[in-house]
Amino acid sequence: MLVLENKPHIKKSRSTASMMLDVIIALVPVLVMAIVNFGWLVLRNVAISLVVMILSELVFVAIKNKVPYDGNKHSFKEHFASIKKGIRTTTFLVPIVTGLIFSMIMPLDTTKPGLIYVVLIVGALFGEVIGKLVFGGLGKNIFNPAAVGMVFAKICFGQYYAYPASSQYSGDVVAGATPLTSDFGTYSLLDMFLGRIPGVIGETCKVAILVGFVYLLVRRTIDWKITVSYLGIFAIDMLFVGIIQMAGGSGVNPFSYMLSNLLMGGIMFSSVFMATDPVTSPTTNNGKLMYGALLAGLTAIIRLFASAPDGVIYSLLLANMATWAIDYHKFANPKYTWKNILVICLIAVIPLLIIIWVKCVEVF
Amino acid sequence: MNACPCALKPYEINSAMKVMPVDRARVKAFEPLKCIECGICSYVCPSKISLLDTIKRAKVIARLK
Repeated sequence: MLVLENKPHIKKSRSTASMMLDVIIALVPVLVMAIVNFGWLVLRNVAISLVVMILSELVFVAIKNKVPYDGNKHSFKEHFASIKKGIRTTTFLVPIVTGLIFSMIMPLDTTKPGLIYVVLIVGALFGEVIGKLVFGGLGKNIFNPAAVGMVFAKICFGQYYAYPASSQYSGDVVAGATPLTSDFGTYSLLDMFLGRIPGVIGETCKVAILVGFVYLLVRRTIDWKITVSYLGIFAIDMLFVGIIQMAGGSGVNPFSYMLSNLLMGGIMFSSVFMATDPVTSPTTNNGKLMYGALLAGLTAIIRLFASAPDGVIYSLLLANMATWAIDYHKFANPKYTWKNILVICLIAVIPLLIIIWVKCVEVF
Repeated sequence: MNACPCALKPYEINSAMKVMPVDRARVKAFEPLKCIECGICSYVCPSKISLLDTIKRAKVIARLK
């Protein structure tokens, strides 16, 4: 067959579907450790979110791909044949990634039995439909769909959340108390690293998240810049807070304060799997560093001073809104220039100054 | 993005060329004339968009008086 097209005639075998498959493989250790820590009920949560998200995506594909109105009546068969052409591999793979991430950032159970079904269905539906499909599907959303669903479910049903301690730790159900809201120093650093703490199902075990991170880096599915700048600048912020607390005479070791803040909550999971989402994050090298710095500052401010205990998801949604500005063609530059590095430093330093100011007022 | 040896933004040129009628000032702002037509952008694109094709058309539009 004769094909008329421009060069290059060889294409890399990498596709959107294979990138999504890589993310699913990287999420497998997290899922396994969640099952080890919390038991088989994890699979129920995963199944509910996957089914809801895939079904809503299929409905969207059906509405989008049915035969357009042309004055004639079309039979169901014609519509079905047209819809069948619109279904691709990504139609299934992308909701699977979103659903896995969404179920990993939701709690295992609710304090009232049976309410978890409502929470998961409402959250998954809202996240997929309002977070992604109303913008036009894959590649056009401005917010991370999993984060949108999680925030909506938390706003609606937050008071019923229960964070059971992992089964290898103790069997007690702690209603609404993650290590963030309880006192600093309740859990040792090793327990936090291995995931033997109560919390959201996917975020507790940091070893599994690091394994997934290394896999994604080796396969070049994600860039290291967002994750490293996010975690690094957040660590520097927390180190300063620890030093101020030590100077205030509270007897806190700044380095252990920094490490425990890195291991608490969802910051590791979010920085590896959610902030690196290729659709909602900037594309340039400078932009990625700016995005990480912005996320770190927002997370630190929300975590330290806001009434919300873990600021990771809120800061992610706020930073998603700034992505278009970071990518705006008049400032975004693929090369590192002094102006861009200055902007990265400013984005990192301004939240740090705010944190130091407020913390000094609080402590002294 | 990181693939381009001339530090252009092929996806931005592509999205500027999609608008009908084409906004010539917007296409020119992404400097398609700097492109050396190596084709790396088309090679690495995970969505299999033939970006070089679009950039060649963008060059014609940018050269118009």
